Amino acid sequence: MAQPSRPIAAALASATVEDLRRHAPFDRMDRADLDWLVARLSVVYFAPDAVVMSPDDGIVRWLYIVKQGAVPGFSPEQVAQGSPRWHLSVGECFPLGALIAGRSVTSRYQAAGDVFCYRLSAEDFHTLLSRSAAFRDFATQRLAALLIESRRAQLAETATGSRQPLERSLREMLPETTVFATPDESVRLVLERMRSGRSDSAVVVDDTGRACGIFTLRDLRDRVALAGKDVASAIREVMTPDPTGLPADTMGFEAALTMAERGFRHVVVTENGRAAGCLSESDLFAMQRIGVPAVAAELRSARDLADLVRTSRRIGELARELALQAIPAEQLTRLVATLNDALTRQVVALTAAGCGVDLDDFCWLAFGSEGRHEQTFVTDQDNGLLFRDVDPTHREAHRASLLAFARQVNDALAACGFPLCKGQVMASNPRWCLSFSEWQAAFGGWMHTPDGPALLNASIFFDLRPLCGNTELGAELSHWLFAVAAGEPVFLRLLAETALRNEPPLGVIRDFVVGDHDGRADTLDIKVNGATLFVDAARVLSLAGGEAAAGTAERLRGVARRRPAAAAEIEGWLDAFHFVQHVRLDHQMRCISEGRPADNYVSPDTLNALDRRILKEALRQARKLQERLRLDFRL
Amino acid sequence: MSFTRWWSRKTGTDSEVVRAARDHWRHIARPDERAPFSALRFSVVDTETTGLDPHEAELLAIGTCRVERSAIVLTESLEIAVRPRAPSGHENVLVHGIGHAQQAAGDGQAEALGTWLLAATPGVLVGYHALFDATVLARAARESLDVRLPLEWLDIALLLPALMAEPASHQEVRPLDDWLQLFEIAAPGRHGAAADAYATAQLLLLVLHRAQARGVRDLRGLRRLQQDLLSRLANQAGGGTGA
Repeated sequence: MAQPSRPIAAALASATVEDLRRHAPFDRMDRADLDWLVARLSVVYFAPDAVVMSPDDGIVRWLYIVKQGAVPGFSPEQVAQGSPRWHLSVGECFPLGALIAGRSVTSRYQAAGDVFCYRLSAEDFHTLLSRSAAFRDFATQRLAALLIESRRAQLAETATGSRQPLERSLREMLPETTVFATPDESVRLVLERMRSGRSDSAVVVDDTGRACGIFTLRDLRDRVALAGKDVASAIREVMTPDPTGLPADTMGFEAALTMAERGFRHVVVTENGRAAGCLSESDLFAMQRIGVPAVAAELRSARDLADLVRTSRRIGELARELALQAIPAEQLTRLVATLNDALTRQVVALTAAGCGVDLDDFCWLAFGSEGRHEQTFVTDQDNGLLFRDVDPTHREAHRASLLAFARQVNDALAACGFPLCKGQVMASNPRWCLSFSEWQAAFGGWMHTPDGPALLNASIFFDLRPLCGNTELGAELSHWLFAVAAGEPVFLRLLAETALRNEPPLGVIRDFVVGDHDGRADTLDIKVNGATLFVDAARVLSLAGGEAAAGTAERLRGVARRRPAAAAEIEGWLDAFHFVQHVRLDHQMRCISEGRPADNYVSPDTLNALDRRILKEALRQARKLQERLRLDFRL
Repeated sequence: MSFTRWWSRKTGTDSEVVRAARDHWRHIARPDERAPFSALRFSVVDTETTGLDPHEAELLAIGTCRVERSAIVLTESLEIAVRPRAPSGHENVLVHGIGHAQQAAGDGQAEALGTWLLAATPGVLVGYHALFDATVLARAARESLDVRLPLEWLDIALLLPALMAEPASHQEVRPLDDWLQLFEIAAPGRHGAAADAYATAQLLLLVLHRAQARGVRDLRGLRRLQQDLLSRLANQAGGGTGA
């Protein structure tokens, strides 16, 4: 039957185009692409409760766009409970991830009521991805969000709640009621309040709202009952004064670590310095199961280098175990950094005691990834030492004694698995064992004479964090630095220019620009050509804004606070950065499980289709971040 | 207008399309009355005409939507404007929205019908208040193609109430808009031939699903359902005709 191909009924086509255009991404697609799409759509119907798609169906063959009705998606375990994982409504496309990866769906999609869907074949879907940039952007961006979503779901499924506290801040963990008291109230009054509030502790606050003490049932036993004290006495006489406070946005694991490290059972949670509540060891009990406090306790009881080396191995094991449990990259790198911090503190403390060095005399500074709280499984030492200014005639002798001590610390850290820094950025290097004014002079020199080496140094030293010893002295230095740097436009501009020289490895012909790294062919350096893109740009933007933050995520969030209009865009950069870090950690884990030293050389071909696509999108986000930098500095 | 068509009208000989359609129809296979729905192709049809009497009205447009393997295939939907032999009255223009200029631009009836026949058949013909469309198309096809189209179409206006559960109001013959509203089917461009066929096609998907749930699995079963409803209506009306 020879007949010419006819165009689809014009009225119907344009009505369908209009229908689709009410939703993203169709609202920003070119008319030609929409017409192309509509000509390939069919319309299908699903009766109430009919299964649209399920994991048993095998590789997904269709893209659905809900035309009318609602389609909830259930994880296989949820079907019985009837609480959906997500709810797809009119205009939404699914299942993007499964289609791109060419696999079956992980959820079961069921029609709620009468449902009509537009349907596109998988083949046409892939053609549309390559045809329409708007559609591609949408599909891959949604994917990043979906990926995070699915990792969360995975986490919730495998961990039955025990690991969730890792992802929660103290604010989210606070009990509903906290008992507060003022210093002059009687013990009896406070106890009555504790009874009616079903609480075993009370936070004593002064008139400014700051916590000046804490009173627990243990205090009742030791300081009231056994001490034969009258319950009419003022609470201030029996409370534990000056409790440790932690800001409400501290992560649960950090709090658990701090408590275990210092051996106390309660911690006051503060919001802007004011007491907001109190958490006990048992509130953080879930941390026990993942072994963070156990490792911290082991660290605390370490007596010599051999003990520390043993514990450092356990930290490595713990981190790798957590990585296997699909913990988001931001939390994981922060946890690794926190554990490494604790280890370093103990190394410093034990060594100082051995050398007769007073902890108050110096501040141990962390630089680079450790300074940013972004340590992965491959990390060498980047540290320095800061001491108070002394009489110039004694300075060199003082430095010499500190250098001897620092050398021991660096060696001990090396024994614990942190290789010595190839670039000699270590406290035992006389160049980085400096007094307050010497550090000021060094930073000042880089900012005023920003030549090549200075800019390279800036990328390491401007990520500083006082780690232990006299941390107040360290804080003073970093405050000075961030206040001064914001007023150095020439330096910042050069720093931005340097950051922009590193381009995202996106190819015109191939997806990624790959090369030979350390004898590994067709790989990309996920650190230098991935994470660093975000790290460098975030540093410049943050310094220019006078922010004191040292982490990349923290820095970008700071930028978002200053520019609310760009918040959504910045959220995209954050997701992208965390995804790159996730790929990096996954790769390093694979190296370790294959019994070879962990590196940063990822071969894109070994990634699954989904991860490859998201990585590409993440690198596109890096490009957008660089464009922002270019605009800000008119480069 | 192609030269051949223009020439054929001038000379009174048949155009290529007309000859192809006639040939197509001679060799066409009737739909298998016992095949499962998923193996059938349906053509959901709606016509726009110059009047309400199917024995008098002239065709203005034919809209068709194809359903295959229980899915509406948008690419295979078509709308063919027909140049009527006499322009329609003013009041009718207001209903179907096809102005005189547009009417004049349509295909001649024979070519339009030929094109439609080639695209819409073989296929189970389906309509809403289908007897009207069946009658108009059969008359036009006989006159201009010398082709005898069947009058026994599937009628969604009858099948839907036959398959609905209580309340009783859902088991009556109702206007198309009532059902679209009930099932919340958006029908942009309603009263255009293709848009109405599209709306009806969506109801056909519902009908096929509901019929299957009732154990009705082939055309025979659907025709029986339709016949039962007609008899019920005839009884209710005391012997009068229903739709």
